Amino acid sequence: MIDNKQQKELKRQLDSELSHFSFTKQGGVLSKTHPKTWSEKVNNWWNKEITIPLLPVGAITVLLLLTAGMILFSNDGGQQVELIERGGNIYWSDMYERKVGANES
Amino acid sequence: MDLVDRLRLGEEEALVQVMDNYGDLLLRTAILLVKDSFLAEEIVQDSFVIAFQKIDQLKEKEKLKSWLIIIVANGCRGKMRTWSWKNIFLFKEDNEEEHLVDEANPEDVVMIGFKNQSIHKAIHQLPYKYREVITLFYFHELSITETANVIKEKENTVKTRLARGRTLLKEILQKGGENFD
Repeated sequence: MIDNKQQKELKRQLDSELSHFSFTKQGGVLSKTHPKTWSEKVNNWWNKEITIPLLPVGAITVLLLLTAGMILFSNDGGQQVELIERGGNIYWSDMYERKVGANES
Repeated sequence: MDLVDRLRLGEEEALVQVMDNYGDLLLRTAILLVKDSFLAEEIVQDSFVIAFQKIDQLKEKEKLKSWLIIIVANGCRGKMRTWSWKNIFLFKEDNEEEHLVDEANPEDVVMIGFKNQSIHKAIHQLPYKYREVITLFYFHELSITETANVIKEKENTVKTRLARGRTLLKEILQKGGENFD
């Protein structure tokens, strides 16, 4: 099935075809692993990989959003806002009362 | 003190030595996998950085080379990964084993390659999962078990992919290079 000699022959042919490719970015690796200049150090720090645990961060975000939502709604003070009809037009009750109040004063 | 110990101590010279020893081999592997020499060089560069930073995770010192191959293979897979709905249907991979028929033998592939065109260009035309096992098995001369460990698949899956990959490779070489992707 899989002939060792042929495996070696294929390897030899691939080696010969790819022989002109050489790794040239040793400097790039060293600037990240052993930064020497100030700019390499800053660049290294700036590009530092961080791992964010998705579950706790997601849970905290949802909790914050829920809390913010609850605070916003509770600031309504229980005031019921509804659509009302005055003079053939439809208004939000709170807006209508504000405008009428302003006109009266 | 051996190379891995020196890497653990953070020695720059040890890292240079590792890059001298394995840089070209890993670059050529990445080129076979991602088909682009610039992208391949970037992947190998990142792989050396990762290897240096995570050298403590290497449990068996004598497996440095295969550990580096795993890092590069993962890097290449990460770059080549594209979203596909077929990812949802996980059972698809299991069905591969039903077609375990080695239609082409390696000799055919080599002989056709000699006559017509370069083998690495033909390998580039294989779908990624076949390209990966063909590269690891033929270029790195890994065994079926070692290949399975690198790509984290079952040995039967590797055998199936090798058989299918060889068949596709033979067809590509015979046709003179049509795209199978």
